[in-house]
Amino acid sequence: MSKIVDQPVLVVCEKGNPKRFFWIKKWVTVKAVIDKWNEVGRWWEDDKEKTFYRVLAGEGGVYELYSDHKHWNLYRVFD
Amino acid sequence: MFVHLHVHSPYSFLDGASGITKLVERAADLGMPALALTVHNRLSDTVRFIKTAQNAGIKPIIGCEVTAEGGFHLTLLCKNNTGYRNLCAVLTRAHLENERGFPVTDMHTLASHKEGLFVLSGCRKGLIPSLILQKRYKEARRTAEHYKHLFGPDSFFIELSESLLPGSMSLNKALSELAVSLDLPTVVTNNVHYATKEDFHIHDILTCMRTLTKLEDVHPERRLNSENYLKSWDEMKAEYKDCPEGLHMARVLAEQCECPLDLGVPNFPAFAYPKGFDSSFHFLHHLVFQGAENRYGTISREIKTRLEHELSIIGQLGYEDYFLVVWDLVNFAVRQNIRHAGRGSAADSAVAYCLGITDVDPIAHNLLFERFMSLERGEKPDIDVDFDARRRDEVTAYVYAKYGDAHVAPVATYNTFQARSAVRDVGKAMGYAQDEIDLIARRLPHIPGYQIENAFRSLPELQNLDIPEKRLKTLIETSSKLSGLPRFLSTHLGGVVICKTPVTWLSPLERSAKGVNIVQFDKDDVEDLGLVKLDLLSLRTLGAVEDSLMFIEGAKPDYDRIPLDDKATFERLQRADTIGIFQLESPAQRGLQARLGAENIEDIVASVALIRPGPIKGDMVEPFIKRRHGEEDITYLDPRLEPILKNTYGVVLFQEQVIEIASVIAGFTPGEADKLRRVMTHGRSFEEMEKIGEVFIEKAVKRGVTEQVAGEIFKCIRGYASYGFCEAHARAFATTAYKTAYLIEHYPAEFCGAILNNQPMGFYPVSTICVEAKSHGVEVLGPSINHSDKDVTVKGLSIRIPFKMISGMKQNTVTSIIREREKGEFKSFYDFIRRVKPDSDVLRNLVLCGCFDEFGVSRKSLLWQAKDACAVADGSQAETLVALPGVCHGYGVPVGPGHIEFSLGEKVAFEYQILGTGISAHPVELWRSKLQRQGFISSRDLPRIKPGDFVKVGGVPVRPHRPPARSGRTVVFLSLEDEYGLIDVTCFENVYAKYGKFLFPGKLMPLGVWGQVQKRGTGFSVTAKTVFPLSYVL
Repeated sequence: MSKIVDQPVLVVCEKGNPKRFFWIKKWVTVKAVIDKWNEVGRWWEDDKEKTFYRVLAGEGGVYELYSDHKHWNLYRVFD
Repeated sequence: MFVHLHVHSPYSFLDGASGITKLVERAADLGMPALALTVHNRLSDTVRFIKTAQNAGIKPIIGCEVTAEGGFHLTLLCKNNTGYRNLCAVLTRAHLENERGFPVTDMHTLASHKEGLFVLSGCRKGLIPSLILQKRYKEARRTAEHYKHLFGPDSFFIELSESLLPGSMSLNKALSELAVSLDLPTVVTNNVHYATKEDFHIHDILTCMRTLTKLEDVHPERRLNSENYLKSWDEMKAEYKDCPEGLHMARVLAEQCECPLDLGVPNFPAFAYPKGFDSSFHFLHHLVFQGAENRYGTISREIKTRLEHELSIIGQLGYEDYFLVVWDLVNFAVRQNIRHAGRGSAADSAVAYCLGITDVDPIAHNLLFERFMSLERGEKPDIDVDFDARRRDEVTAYVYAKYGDAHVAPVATYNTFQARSAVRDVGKAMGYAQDEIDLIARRLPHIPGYQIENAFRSLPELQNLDIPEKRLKTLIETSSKLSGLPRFLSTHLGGVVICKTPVTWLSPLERSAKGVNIVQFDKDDVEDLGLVKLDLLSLRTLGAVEDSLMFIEGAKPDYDRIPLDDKATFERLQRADTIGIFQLESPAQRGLQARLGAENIEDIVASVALIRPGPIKGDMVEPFIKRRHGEEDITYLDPRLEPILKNTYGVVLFQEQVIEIASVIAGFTPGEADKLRRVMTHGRSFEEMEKIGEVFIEKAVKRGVTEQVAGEIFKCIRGYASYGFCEAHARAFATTAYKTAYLIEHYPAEFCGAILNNQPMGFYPVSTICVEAKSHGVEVLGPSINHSDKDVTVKGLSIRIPFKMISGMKQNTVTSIIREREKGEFKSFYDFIRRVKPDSDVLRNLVLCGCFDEFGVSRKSLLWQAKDACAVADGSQAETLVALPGVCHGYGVPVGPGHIEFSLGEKVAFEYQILGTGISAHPVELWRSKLQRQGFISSRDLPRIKPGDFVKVGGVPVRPHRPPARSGRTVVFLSLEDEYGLIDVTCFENVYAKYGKFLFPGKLMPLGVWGQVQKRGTGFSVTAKTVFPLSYVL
């Protein structure tokens, strides 16, 4: 199961990949990037391309973050 | 450096968004030494790709992405010519042994044709990646082992083709591990579908078209991102940093692949000449001189010299077998009484004339053989022969029988996106309503896609469309970018290749919609492949000629010996009464005929050549008419032009004259003259013509002509970049034009009936032909269930509309009607239904177009009962019918509500919808009294009006069009059809700008015009001042 969050988050990167992000008043450390992909979205409505990261957090949780190369959002949290 | 080995060009129809040139240029810009194209299940792009890549200095690698059993993909690359032939064989079986449009490559076939091929495991849709994505690792391993065994460890590769898609990271990791564990090499590709990232939008739209979805819809085929472009070495390195060996392998494979084809190596069969001759040339020589005796009687020195000269060139270029093959075909047509006519530049050849291929004597008319063939050009000559459209297939069947199925195949043609088709398809994908798409597409002229933006900027009817600006902008830009991309493959109208080797050594075959096996290349490609194409064209006019001769009762004229000086025929042309006449029926031609007053066949040759974009833009029409009538002096800018232009009153009419002028005035070399010829026949580019102009003036000045005169002379020939006829072609067409004029003059019912029987043909719709027939005293009888036939029938001065002209009519219904009628006439509507059992849609149309009028029951009444009557005939609803009040008293005349009839207007509207013409009346006839009260003039009364007077006219618009004009301004010509004939209307740019939306409304809209009467020669027309929908005054 997962929950769509889609909210802006603060992310710290290392070599282009997220290293940790700030979520519910604490920093979540990224242990590994499990998957990474790009999505163009609704280009005909001027959506910007986003890069999605599915990450395994240090505390064992799985999250999806995305960046439109300016801002970061936490998109989804897996139970 | 990296090489892309998995790339889709647009020949992966609707799955490749960048043209070959763009892909090659991009690869070259990225410094790549080679590029592979691997379209879905075809090799259609091979020839163009090889040429483009070699021009750009990179190595072309030929490959294909095949669909294997289960829909799984595999990428194949040709190492060499053996691999190419094997790939052709594999693809041919994939296409011919499966449902059309769904080729499937059989793995056993592929294994038995593996020599010369590299096999890559494929993209995400490959079997191995699919199994891994489903976490069926053991099956994936077994499959990889099987493929390794099947194709050999040196020829099978694990392909890593995608990154940046969900699951790609783990997929690529699993594929790499599998490769290591089986000791298989990996190779990295990028499954490219477009050249640059920006082209993704085009690909996404194409995907929507392919999957019949809209942009708003979700579909698994829609790509999630724009990563499938030709990435640079750095980009690929960054993405596959964990797999350097896979990147390296791409380069290694590219080095091992050779270009598998040498373009242009001749591949034409030797003609089997009879015993007694020592070569095909010897046999050709014999036939030509035998034919010359038949044609000329005595062979003069001049004729002998000409024939020997032509034969020498044919022999030197090695085309004697080609001439013999064409001669043999024409001979077959003669034996089978299949009407035919040679056309095009072949009519410049006395050899073709003596062989009976053409009917124009080039010696008598001083036609240049070099226009057709020359040693300098060394090109394969094109001999075009038209055959009666309905019997052309018999000629094709003869070719197959003679040369063998394996050596003959029709040529393909690529249907490409043009303005209208692009707007329609993009509009649909963007979610435009069908009405909006229809409106825009119908208002767009038939132009190439790259002119769309200009059309939307400049055409009045495309302004104020009530579509949000951004949405319209996306539609226009996207449609424009699709310009010229191929959409699908279809069969060329008449091109057939005959090969010395089996066709499948050079091209895979696939089944066309018509059920014939065609090559995957078009006419240009097959010539580059070294194949010779025969053009077995079909011309409906020849079918109409044949039909009219069949319709004539009693003594029939000998078509081949129709007198070329028939007074009545020329009087008809002088009246501009030319609707239905081949090549002379358009409004522009009628306008010309009204003024030219043709008196002989030479005038018709000139007419055919004059109404072409070249002479029109070159301002040749007015001077020709004036000089022809002696109203203007015939002058020459240079005395050396006189011998060239004397026969055409000093006016440049034919391509041959243009070339001769260039040679005589500017001293053009054969190479320069050939360039000029190409611009006139193929390129039609004004830029190229301007460049030639600079050379012309420079060289002419060097030869003593003043710059001003050289410039003036060049002005006369510049317009020919737009297209003009060669004299030989004009003569061939003029003969047919004259003979059809003769037939329509002396046998109007028979020839009009023949035109209707061969629809679609000619310039005008069915309704115009019917109105014209009526205006010449021919009665057009509506369809009748007891009297119509499948085809048109003609009796005396009446034409009977046939069943085949009824919209939605099915062949089996027609057969059934005729078979039942042989047993006895239909006695009533119900008798018909009981015996024929038609489906309800056909029955509805039969009723509404008046097929049952002879039973004296109203159409509305029959329509009312049709559904139930069908049910009774089925036996499924017998009781219901009996229960209907007054419907069925022993299949008699019904009573009750059905007695009410449609109004005359409704009847005519249905007739138009179903037959394309009104039988009960012409629509304008219904409005005539109202129009008359308001002062509207009919086409019959127009000649009584004083030229210069203002009139109101109205009718159904026919063929509004904007031909090229000398001034460069847009002028719209249209005809208004009323119950008596046509009124030609001219709308100049200011009127067009104001009323464009009425002139090109995107739907049928009867129009009224207020304007000034013009009289030119014997013809009348109206120059519009105001245009309005006729409904405004009804």
